[in-house]
Amino acid sequence: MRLEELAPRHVAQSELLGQEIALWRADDGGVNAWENRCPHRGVRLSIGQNTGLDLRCRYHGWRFASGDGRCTHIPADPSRLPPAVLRANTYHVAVQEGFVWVALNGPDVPPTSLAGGRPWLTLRSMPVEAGMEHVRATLIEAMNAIPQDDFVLIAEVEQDRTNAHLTLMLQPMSGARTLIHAALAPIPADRLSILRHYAARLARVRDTAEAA
Amino acid sequence: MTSGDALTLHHDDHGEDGYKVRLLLAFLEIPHRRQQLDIYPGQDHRSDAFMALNPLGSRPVLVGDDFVLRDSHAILQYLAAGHDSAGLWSPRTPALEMARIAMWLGFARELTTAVSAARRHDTLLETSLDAGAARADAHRLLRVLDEHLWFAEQEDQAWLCAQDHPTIADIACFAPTILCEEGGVSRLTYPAIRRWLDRFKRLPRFTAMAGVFGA
Repeated sequence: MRLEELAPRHVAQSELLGQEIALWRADDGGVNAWENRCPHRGVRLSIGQNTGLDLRCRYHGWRFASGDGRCTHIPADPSRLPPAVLRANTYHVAVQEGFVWVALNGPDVPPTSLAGGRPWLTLRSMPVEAGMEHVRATLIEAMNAIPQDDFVLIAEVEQDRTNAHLTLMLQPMSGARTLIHAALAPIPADRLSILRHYAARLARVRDTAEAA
Repeated sequence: MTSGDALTLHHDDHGEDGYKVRLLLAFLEIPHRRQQLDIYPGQDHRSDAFMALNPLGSRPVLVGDDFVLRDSHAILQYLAAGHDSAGLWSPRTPALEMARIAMWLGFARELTTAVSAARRHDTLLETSLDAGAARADAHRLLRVLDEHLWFAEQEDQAWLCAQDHPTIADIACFAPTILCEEGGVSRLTYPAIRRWLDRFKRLPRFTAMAGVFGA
């Protein structure tokens, strides 16, 4: 997910490899990516409240602290600090070049700079109701994108009469759903019309992938 | 102003359309009475008394001293025109903005039809409804809404139409969108919609209903 889409006091919802994730940013800027499930009764944390310091579950009001996800308050037993074993299931998270990277197992670091240090314009991410392999093949076919690894492709595009790089990053939400993230370098002059241009282009990729 | 009118809202507590009108009545703090209909199992909307008010049997219906109004969007327009002295909820100028509000009201009508069918199938067990087709239609519309709201954010616009205040178009789209998951329509792939829902819920005098939580 793009960092700037984590609005203040908002809890975003995403999915990675079939695992639903609640994403939220504390007022101090700390980014949290947690299993989207309250450890108490299994309710989705993404319908909870981001208080700026902690996430308050909608169901029974249990509160989980930004950072380690430790339960700090149980309304039904307000006088005691809950035991340390009570915590939201947290994932490793890193922020790089405007994107939030989440690793479900262990502290995988995000890839070293995808933009090669150049500033880029992040485009609107495009959800596709199709598996990642199929979406990858569609991008190769439809945009002449060249795979860098299993998840990243780069397409050469013409921008303001010069060559530009379109970096495409695939988020396998589940076996049947893929989110295409995209970024363009260098940053074009006419930002908004370029955003619209690629939103339409990726929508065509989506329609092609979903039709097959 | 029509503030001297004694208004009565005939509604049920389950439908998206009654919720739209209750939201605006609360936002504008309009005094009114409520007549709640028991749809299931009571079938009040098929009673002679209600059919005399609205032969279509649809809810809500707004009854004033000397008028009867059906169709939630017509009621929103009436209330916004007569009870909103600041003219923020349904501005008549510029012309293009007025037309865009009408356009999104039309969109909201389609979305409400789709979401309502999916919800009634899942929660009222109206199994004759084609829930699969209704969900597919809801997703087709929500994709358009999410893209529109994402680009609105890019231009620092918080609401559906280019106003710094929400309009009746936001209300009309909010109700089916906040209730869609009850019909098995997930909002997982609509992050801009989820942020807009949060903004809407934080408006002063926002009212919830069964299945809707505050922000």
